[in-house]
Amino acid sequence: MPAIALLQPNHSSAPILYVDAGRWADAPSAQGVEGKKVSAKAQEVYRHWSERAEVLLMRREAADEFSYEHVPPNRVFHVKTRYVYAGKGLPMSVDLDEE
Amino acid sequence: MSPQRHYRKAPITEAIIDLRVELPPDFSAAELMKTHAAEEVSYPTVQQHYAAFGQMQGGPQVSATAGSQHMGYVFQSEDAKQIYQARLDGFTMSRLAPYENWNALRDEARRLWDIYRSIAKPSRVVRLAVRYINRIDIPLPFADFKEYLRTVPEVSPDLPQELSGYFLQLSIPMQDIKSLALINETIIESASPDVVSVVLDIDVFRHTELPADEEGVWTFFEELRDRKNKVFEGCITDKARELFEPCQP
Repeated sequence: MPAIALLQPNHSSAPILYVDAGRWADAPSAQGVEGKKVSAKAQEVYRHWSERAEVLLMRREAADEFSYEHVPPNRVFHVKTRYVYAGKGLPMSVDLDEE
Repeated sequence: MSPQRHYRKAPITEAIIDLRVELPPDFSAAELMKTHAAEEVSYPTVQQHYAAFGQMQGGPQVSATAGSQHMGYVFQSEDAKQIYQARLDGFTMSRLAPYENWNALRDEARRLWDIYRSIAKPSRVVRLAVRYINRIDIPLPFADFKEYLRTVPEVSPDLPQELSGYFLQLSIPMQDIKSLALINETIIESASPDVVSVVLDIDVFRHTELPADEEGVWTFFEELRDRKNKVFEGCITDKARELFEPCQP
């Protein structure tokens, strides 16, 4: 039995498309009754999708806005430092009468 | 996929050839009326085409803006079966039922596109599409949509199998022709109580690496049409074909 699979993400000619009113708006506009009914139903589905699920499933463009790239940390590394010994530390004096 | 077939009662309710373009920035929608200069007899009805837009912003105060842009014109034949749109973003040819054949649709689309092209002088074509909308009237009673359709929603056998409605949209890459098939399938109100009407809407389009010359564009339309046929045949069963009365080869 044939299986349904997602397109490989690195395929350049046909990216994975998400439910998107903009994508639907690109379709050639139909003039007949049936075509207009399909358009109305698609809009209805998109509205339902937007109202219920867009928080859970971010649109691809929004996800693309993040430019963060993870850099793995070096577990062991050497740093050159210079320090000066300034003497023994003492507590600051506090005038109790002021309170 | 199945070989190409012809039907006496093809379920096509609308066939569309569509070209999206970029026009020079100073070109105005009103100039597209010139595409109709020699077409007043064939396409006597003229409608203006507007694109509406709106934006609403919320916060301490709510503001809203709305507007519209004149995009072009829709021209209809006297019987309203043949329609072409000349717009700032492209040209679309539609044929409503009864559908004649591909050659008639393509030749008329190309004739009118040549007029559009000579007037609007598009700087480039950005998208080519062939879209066919079919209404399949499935006679009642039947036990399973799969008797007639091979592309249908799969419902878990643990759930009730009766459907009062569905809307299925599939985007299927056609990698060999660098195109995408957008299939919409849904139940609509039927004209008769004896049938269930399912719309099978197949839009095959390409928007990258488009042919640079006119001959290439129209040769590619043949490929899109051929692929649309294969998608259609792939979505139906022999029992559905019987409804459309296949012509003998």
